[in-house]
Amino acid sequence: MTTASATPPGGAGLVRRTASALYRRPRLQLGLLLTAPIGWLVVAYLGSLAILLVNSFWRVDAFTGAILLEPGLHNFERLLSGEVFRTITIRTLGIAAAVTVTDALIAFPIAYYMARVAGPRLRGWLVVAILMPLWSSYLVKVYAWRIILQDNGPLNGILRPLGLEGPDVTAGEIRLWIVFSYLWLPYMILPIFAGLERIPNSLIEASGDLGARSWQTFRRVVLPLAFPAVVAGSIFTFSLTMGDYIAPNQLSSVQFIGNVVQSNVGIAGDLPFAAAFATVPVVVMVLYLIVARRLGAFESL
Amino acid sequence: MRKRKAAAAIASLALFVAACTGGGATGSPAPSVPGELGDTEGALNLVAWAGYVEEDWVAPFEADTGCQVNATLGNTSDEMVTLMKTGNYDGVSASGDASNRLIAGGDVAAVNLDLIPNYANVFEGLKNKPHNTVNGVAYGVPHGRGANLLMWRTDIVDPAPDSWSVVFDPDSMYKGKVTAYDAPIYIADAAVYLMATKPELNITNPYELDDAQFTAAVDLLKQQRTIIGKYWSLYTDEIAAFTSGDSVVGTTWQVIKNVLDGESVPVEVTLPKEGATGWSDTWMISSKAKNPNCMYAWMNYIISPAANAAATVYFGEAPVSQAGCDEAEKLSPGHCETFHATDEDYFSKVYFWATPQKECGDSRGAVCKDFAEWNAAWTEIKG
Amino acid sequence: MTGSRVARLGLRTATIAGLAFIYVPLIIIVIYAFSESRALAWPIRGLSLRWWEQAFGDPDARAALITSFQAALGATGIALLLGSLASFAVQRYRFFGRETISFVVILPIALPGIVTGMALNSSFRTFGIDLSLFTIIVGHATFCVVIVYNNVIARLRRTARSIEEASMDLGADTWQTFRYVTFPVIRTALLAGGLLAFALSFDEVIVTTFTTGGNQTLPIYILKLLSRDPSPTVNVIAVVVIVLSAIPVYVAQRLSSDAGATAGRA
Repeated sequence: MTTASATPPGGAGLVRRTASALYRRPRLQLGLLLTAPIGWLVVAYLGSLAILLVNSFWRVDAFTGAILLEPGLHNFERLLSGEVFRTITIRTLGIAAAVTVTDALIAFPIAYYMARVAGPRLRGWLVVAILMPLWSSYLVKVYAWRIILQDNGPLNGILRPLGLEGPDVTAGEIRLWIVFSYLWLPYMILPIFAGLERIPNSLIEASGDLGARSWQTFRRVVLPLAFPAVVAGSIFTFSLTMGDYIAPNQLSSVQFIGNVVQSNVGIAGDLPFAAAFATVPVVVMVLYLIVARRLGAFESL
Repeated sequence: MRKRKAAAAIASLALFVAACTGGGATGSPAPSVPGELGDTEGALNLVAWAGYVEEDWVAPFEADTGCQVNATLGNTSDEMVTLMKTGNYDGVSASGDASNRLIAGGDVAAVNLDLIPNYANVFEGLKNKPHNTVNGVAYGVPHGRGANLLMWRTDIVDPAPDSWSVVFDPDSMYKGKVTAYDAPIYIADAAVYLMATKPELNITNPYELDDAQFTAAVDLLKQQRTIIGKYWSLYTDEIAAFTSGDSVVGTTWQVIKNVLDGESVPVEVTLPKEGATGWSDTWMISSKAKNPNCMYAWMNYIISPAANAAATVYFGEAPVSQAGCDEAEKLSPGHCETFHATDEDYFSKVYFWATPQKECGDSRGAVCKDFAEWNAAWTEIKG
Repeated sequence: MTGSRVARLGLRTATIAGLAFIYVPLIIIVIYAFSESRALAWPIRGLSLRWWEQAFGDPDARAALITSFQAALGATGIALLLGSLASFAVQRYRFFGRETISFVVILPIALPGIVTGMALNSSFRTFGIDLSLFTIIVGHATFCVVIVYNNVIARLRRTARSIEEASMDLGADTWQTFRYVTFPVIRTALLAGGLLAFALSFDEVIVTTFTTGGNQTLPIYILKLLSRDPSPTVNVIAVVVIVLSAIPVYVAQRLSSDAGATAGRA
């Protein structure tokens, strides 16, 4: 690779000389580019996670709340032997999966319409319409749903004259499924929209030219190409549902993994146990991400 | 390759050291108790129960001492312990299930009662209690005392209940609309109910439960779980639940009933025949208080007759002194009688929140369940 | 793609239904901002502007809004910087650990907020860093980086390196090339990423509760308000934020769609 070595008119300033010097030393350039982000992420973040993991091996003095540095697996033993923790984990993962599937089903037609059917002006407005709710506070949305679902709330107001009942406080899992699907829907629509937008028209036309009907084209061309984008969106819906504790607290009496973690770290002061239980969603998410990457989701975020 | 391995080894070692030195602090030695007070500092950061630090009686205090009060609400005793451990607050209104933990953890300091003139007038029944005095050393001043009550929607629950059975009966008519306090200490409420319904368990103190007694209480609560709609820990959540009809019966604080009355929601409260758990909260000063003089000023102020009357009438609990009662009569006639302020016999049947410990404190020895086990059981109960 | 009329009608219906699902709760939030009574009961008993007076008169609300703004600005700035640096590195070079970077970068946003919060909190305490606005910004930046990173790297993938080489063949040095050639190409990706990062930081609550000292961002303030004295004041704040955000969202969308319209469709 030749470099432009002629000095530009006006003389070479310090910036230009540095830039040129860097250009000739790609590894140094790379190093400089990476120091800040890697330094931050690896040292600050991964390091913190590792410290948290180490914490899960300590135990806590029950009375004073002080952490005793006696390593052991008792927290994990407690997790594995307690049936309640299995129940909570299955419930959390189950609802996260249900929310993900629901959002994918709702989001896909909307994203498809936005990406491939709507005209450019309408598409612009639709994108704004989808982005706007991201700016309204998550907390306020959860409270709004609490009102909607409450015993004398608007949902029952519509359903009761029809002889139906909305999910009351005891139907916690159903309530959470509805509300989580609501909350994370934009996070699913946007990547699918971007993914569908990227599909070149020429592929669709070619498929038609080869004799496929529109449904076949959809099934065999569009869907496989859009699938990584769906997986990308699912990363958000799954992880956000799995880690949440505010909505379960507000809308029901069911416990999520996050509730147990939070009640142990924030309130009961048993950080080691909270850290131990927190490793469950971490492991699940890491596995999920590995699978998602293999399915090509990382290019579609 | 060798360089990389060495770097990784050093990094892990550093992390290990960091994890070891980080985390919670072991109890720091309590600071020396002041002999005399200095000038007030201008600010006061408190952790308090909802309704304990309200504008009505805070404003005169601020005007008088110049201490600007900043209150953070703790929803449960456990939250308060955690908040106090951060060292960011000057004082806390701690119930008995927090106070002993704070004392043992070194998070609160002993108080010099000579610096609190109003303490002399406090009822004898509130002085030298195990939850605020350890080894003869006083750790705070009482705010008031009261009981956890049973509340119900008068337009939905009929007839008016007089027993906790309405929230423990698995076939309850109000299944799905029953509420309970969301904290491990609620296990004591189940124990109080068992004292009356299962005397063969020989429960004498609902906070000192041995294996058989504890198991019985936990089983009762797991059974109760099937009729619970939603637990509450934020007092505003219970207000919202009773207003909307999501909850129609359950345990409550008087202050919640007072707010609902203000919102014209038809509710009524009672102390059921089996007795109840209760609380006597102590204002304690943090061992890391940055504004100790303001805190002493507050402790003296909150037990002064006018302020104590205002605070206890607002919340709905018994004042701490006769003078406080006299002032409360002016604000709300019959207040002291309603809350049995001078009735030590009554309060002998209210089981104030206390910290469960292994040492049973009687002939059984150290076989009782401690706080960690209560906490673990609560997670299991909620499911 | 045209597709059959039935299909298009079905899609349009689905979109309208979806938008209705998204917006009905938001409309309820707006209605409550004008409710007369304090209790968040249904149906609304009367209309009033008292909560608007209360919200605008509350100094804590204003302070929280400003703190949130500062935190989001700081976090977005850091995320823009780190995200672009990382995406350039990954896209342009081959090196050991290249694959893992995209993995590591997404972790902060993929792992539960409570885990990220707990981890950062114990790190700060271990190294004796006081919790303050700085730690809030650090926490937010950590999960915002991925947003910018993904947007920029997607754009870089679509950009041929040859235009930079052409620019240099024409006599520009690397700095000029960046300023006049590379930057305009990634500008809208930075804008879109920055906007989304800003929104995420602005509304974040869980990580923030672990990384804040005494500072109150708007979500923390709303949380305190709802636990202490829930009233439609919270709804007023929410409505104000939504309205304020409409402008930058629309502007950003117009800018990025103009630039992005040419890519990928042909």
